Amino acid sequence: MDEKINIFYGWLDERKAAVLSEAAALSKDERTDESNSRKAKANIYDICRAVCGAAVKQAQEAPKADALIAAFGRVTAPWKLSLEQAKAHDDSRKVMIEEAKLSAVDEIIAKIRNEF
Amino acid sequence: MTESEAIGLFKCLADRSRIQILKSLMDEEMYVERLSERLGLTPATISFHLKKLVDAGAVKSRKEQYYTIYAINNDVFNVSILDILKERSEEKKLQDERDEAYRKKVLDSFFEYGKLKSIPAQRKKELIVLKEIAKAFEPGREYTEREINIIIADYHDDFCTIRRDMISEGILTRDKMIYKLVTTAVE
Repeated sequence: MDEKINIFYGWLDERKAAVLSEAAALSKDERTDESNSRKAKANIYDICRAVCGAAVKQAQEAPKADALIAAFGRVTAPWKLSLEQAKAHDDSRKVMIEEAKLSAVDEIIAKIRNEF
Repeated sequence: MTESEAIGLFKCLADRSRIQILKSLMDEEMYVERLSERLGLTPATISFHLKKLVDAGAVKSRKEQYYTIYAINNDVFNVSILDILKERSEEKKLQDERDEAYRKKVLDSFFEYGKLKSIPAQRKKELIVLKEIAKAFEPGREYTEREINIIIADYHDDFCTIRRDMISEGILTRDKMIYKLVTTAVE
């Protein structure tokens, strides 16, 4: 399990680096607002690492996908609500950022389902 | 277009994605999904950029059945940058108001019942006083030195100093003992 979780952490680090690199490229290409939304997305990989780290420590046995997803879901659930509220209030900036964050969430959940 | 509106527009245009959206809208009017497909950006990103463009006045929108159609606002792009720069800026107006308040304060301090109490020692204040006296001269008219002295003497006894200072400050010109007002110096 230790090896599995370490591989997963490695993947999170890689994804974060890739998204930050995308943000840097967008900034260089004079697309500052999109670059900022990628930076917000990049933070999600760190948040996931912290949440999963806590879940792994608390677990009596090797954590299952459902346990990790449930722990991560408790943190990310309000973001879905935030997106719905932003849409309802036509807050296009927030919609763009929340969608970027939630795209990372979906990607991470798919990875957890595959790996654990 | 006000200075603030121009700054808002220029800031809005300083983004490659928004320029790409405008270029697409130059070809034809479009809705979010069409722009999204064309530019390879998510609909949320396109909506965000369009909102900014609409707020800056660069793009206008209209409802058509289920869609919101976006189009270039030609009125904004037909304004030349030179026209924008020629607009009197809000900061300039404030500065002018401050200058006018200062001018009035100096005149109130140095003039009493239309007479100059003393010639200001500070050059900036003296210039305000000299310009005020220069209002007594008719633009374009030629004056002899005696005529100039009589007019200045109505304000202050030391007409020689004032006359000389008016010449050194470029308010009056002297050519072969004929004096003329420099209108641009008193505007």
